[in-house]
Amino acid sequence: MIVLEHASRWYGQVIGINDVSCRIMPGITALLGPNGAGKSTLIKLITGQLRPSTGTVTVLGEAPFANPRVFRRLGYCPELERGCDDMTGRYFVTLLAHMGGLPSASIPQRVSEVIEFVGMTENADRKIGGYSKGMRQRIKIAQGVVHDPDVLVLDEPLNGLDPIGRREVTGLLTGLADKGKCVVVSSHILYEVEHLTRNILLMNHGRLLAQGDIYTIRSLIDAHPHRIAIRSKHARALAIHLLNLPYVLSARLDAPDATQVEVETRSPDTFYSQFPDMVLEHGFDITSFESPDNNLESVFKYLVNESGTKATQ
Amino acid sequence: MSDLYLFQNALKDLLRPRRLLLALFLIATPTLLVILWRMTLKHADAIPPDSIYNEVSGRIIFGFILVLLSVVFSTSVISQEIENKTVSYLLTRPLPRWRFLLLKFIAVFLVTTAIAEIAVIVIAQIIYGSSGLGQAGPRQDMALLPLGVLTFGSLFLMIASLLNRPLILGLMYGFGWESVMSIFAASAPGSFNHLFLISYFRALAPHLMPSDEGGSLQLFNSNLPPTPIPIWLAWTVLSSVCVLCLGGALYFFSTREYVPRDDAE
Repeated sequence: MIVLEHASRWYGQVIGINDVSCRIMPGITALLGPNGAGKSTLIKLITGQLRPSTGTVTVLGEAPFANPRVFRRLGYCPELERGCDDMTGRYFVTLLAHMGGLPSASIPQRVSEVIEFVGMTENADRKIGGYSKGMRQRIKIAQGVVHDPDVLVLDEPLNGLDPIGRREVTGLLTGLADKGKCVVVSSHILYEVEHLTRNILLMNHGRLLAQGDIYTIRSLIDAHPHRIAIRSKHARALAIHLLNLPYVLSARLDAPDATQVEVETRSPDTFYSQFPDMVLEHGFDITSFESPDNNLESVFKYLVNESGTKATQ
Repeated sequence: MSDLYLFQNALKDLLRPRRLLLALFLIATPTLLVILWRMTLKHADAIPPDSIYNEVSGRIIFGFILVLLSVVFSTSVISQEIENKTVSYLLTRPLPRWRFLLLKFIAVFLVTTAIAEIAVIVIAQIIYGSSGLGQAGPRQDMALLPLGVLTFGSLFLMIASLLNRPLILGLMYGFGWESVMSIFAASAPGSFNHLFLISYFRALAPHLMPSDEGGSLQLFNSNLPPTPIPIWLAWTVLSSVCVLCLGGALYFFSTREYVPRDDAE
């Protein structure tokens, strides 16, 4: 449905995306990457807002830039914006249905259908300015699907949503994919999309870093030592206990006050499941617990370093 | 039917309270100026109302209100969508881009013309009293203002379709060039005045000519008079500007990329 062949896009001297080739088929595909990776540029190329500087982008067999034939079959949900706050949800969806080329007579019924589909019937006649982030996302999905497109592209639809909102939006997107639609979702948070799809495109610095099944990529990620930073008044004693665990590779104390211990492990899941028991057993007072590796930035760093190391070997 | 809906939406957007405040300000400012002027002028009654009206019309209605309204409303057709990031919705819909822009511009044209016409009506009433609208000056202005809005509106719309900061550039052009420089140009020798759009309006409505051009322009104290602009030339130039600028704006908006730089990673 969506094909990119050696597509690159520059903004003057700045690279948006660089030599990206991929195919996106029906179902949900997650476009993952840290901020500045090139996700938005790729989305704008797919949705026909930008032209590639070199290479080609085709959606449903045609170049999408300013192409009404493509837009009749493509829905797009941009990131949150404040431009429509004065409109009611129903008015907003109706306006975009008119712009979507639907016959005027069928619009009121179709609008009601999609508003019901996204679960916004009760709030459709309230102004968007008073909506929660979850409601905004749902009403944007409603405008994106009001003309029943074959391809739906969503820019960071899960960004800023609470767990309930995330589950609602995830459910909507899964429902669309089940109908055979091609749904492309961008995100910079790995765990957000893990529940959504197995099919991912990983981007960093404008390049397509990895493409395919999320678990394959995840296992690649898990193969590198996972860091966990723990703050405790008993950091030294905690470090000694942690070093005795077979799956802990190292435990490093921060100098000079030694209130934090940084652990490296190759089995983060085992560590996370057994650590609470150890804390309770020995009565450690833990004030904070975080993993700097739980963000995509570090994953990309690892993948880039890994591929660099392999290349030099 | 969809076109009508989109047009109504554009009209509704222009008539939001915040926008109407600007309109109110633009109508109230010259009105207050006229009132203050008359209050502070010695022997005000000795000055013919026509002279007062012509000054106000040339300097404030055509030189200020028309230009400011055209700049603000016409450039906002595109720049507001980009600033609010709602342009993404417009550019990913099957509605041809030019049609969307044209519908919004028609709405801008109607609203801008209405505000400028109301300003003329209010000022004419203050200067002439109840017979204000029966006078030649206000009648001529009311007939000419739609052309003025169309000309300046098309020009600023094209600027907005091409440049990133259309409001600043539009204001610089409108006030720097058309309002201030044109006063000097009015008495400049030769065809210098042909470079200003306002000169063509003055050719169509001579009462718009500033009365003190000689006084304000000792710089051009020359025996050579300015080359007059014939009426046929004024019509030709103004209508050409409308057609070329509006056509240009529709073309550029249909073919250019409109993604805010900070939005692109």
